[in-house]
Amino acid sequence: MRRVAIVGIGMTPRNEAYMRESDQRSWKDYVIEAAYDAIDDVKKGLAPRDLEYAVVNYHGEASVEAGGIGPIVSDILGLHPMGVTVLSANCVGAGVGMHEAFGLVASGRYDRVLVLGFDKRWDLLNFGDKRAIGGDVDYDFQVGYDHPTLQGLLQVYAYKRWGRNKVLKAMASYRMQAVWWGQRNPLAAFWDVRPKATLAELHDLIDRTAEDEDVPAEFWAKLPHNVALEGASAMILVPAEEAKAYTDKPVYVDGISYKCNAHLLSKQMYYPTPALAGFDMCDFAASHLATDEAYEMAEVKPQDVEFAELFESHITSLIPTLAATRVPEAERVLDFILDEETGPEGRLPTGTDGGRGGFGLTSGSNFSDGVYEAVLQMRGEAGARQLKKAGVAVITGMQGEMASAAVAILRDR
Amino acid sequence: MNPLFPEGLYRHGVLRTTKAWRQRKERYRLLGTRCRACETLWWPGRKVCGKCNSRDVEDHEFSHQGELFVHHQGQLAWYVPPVQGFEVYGDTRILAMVKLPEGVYVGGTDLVDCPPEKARDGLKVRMVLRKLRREQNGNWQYGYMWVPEEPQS
Repeated sequence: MRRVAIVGIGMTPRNEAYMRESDQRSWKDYVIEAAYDAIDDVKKGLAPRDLEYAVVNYHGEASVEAGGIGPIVSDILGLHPMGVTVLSANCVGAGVGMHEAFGLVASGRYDRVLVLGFDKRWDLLNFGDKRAIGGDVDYDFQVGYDHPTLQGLLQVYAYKRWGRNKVLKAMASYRMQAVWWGQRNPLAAFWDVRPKATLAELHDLIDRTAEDEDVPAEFWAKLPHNVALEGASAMILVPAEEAKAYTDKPVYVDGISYKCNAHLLSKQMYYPTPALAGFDMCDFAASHLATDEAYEMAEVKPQDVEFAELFESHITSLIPTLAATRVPEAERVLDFILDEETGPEGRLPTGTDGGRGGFGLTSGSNFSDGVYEAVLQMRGEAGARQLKKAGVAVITGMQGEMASAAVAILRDR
Repeated sequence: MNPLFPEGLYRHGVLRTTKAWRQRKERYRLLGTRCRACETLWWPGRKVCGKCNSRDVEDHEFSHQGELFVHHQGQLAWYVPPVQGFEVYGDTRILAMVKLPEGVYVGGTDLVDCPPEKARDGLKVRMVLRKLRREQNGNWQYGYMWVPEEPQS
């Protein structure tokens, strides 16, 4: 198997100025912009027609666009008759796409493969359907549940396991940290965000509330909220041995894994098979199993990992994906967050582009958005949010309600 | 009635009458499966055992009693418009996951006929059949919901 490297990355911005014009753009515009941004990013040059294959992931609009959009993507990029594999896996789709593209390059089948993820939210789908397809349609949506209401079940279980006030304080800490990163990323949704309170004020609101009292409305009103958006991001994979022909700063994909558990939350509470024993819906089994496998493939240990781009838009996904890195001890994850160990000076800087919620939660491209940021950090091109140590990164993506996880381990050398 | 959307029922693209009909035994009777090879119980039912991969499975009707495992009232952080077209019993929808004596969990599901302030994890509940929504042909679709074992007032 050949070693694989990333030699180009592309992105559509998620800042307010760009998103205000989202009514002007279709999913095809996002695909073209991100793909050609990645092609242009190949410092020593890559002609569009040098691409041999593409793996494209979407969430949303394209599901009703003639069923299969491979030929459309090949066409709009001006790359006919290039083949395009199309897949969809909610928020983790670009991670699955990267996993498949990795195989195409590592096996020797192709030498230049484009990976692209995108989401267009409302051109064709209505709000209700879009919300529905984040869960299990048969036994969740069919009985009146959708993504936010299922997330609610997860969150109250997290309260039950770890204590509500501690969970909320960790959430506040992480969101304020996301603001710090986002304000240093011109592409991020949080670029222009000014917090309505300090972290101390948010913590104080919780400290003054008993565990069984209602959470003060003021807390929710002042907490920075995730921004769900649309757009695309892309990367170009090549064999590592050829990478320096494209760029002086390739980033190497040394570990990659994708694992599934049940899409239905209640099944995650009861799935009597050995590999999933000991995990419940708050543990997100797939993220642990995929991280372990990716670490093993990359021959990386937790102490080697220097930063992380996780699926951390929800506190219920931050806790398990952070635990899965094994950098904090599993039972100390909330303390790790509260101690600012995920911040710029912490042991494991996390979500350095603003995080998925602060950069702009973009279902079809969440994973490739994280890869984009990791590559910038490893090249030393992250500007005001540049990390001092950015040699080994773990990227984690999540699907739906903890349904599956993709994990990539990146190295700068 | 949702005050934000007082107009008539909205039709979701992913809801289909045939799907609802196909799953009627699950929704009316909590019919799942039991693996004859390893005796593992599964809810929802399945054709291949997730533990031993046997295809020798049979119907198993799960208990209609259980206990409330977790619940919320839909307003954890900010107002989320409810999924339109579904019946809401009472002023407040109580969203829940229920644990059955067999060890399996059912959820998302609804706790009904219970004042919101009386809902608490561990509450003993039993299954009832309630209207979920109207199907595309106008018929009512029914499904499981849960009420307190002891009436709460």
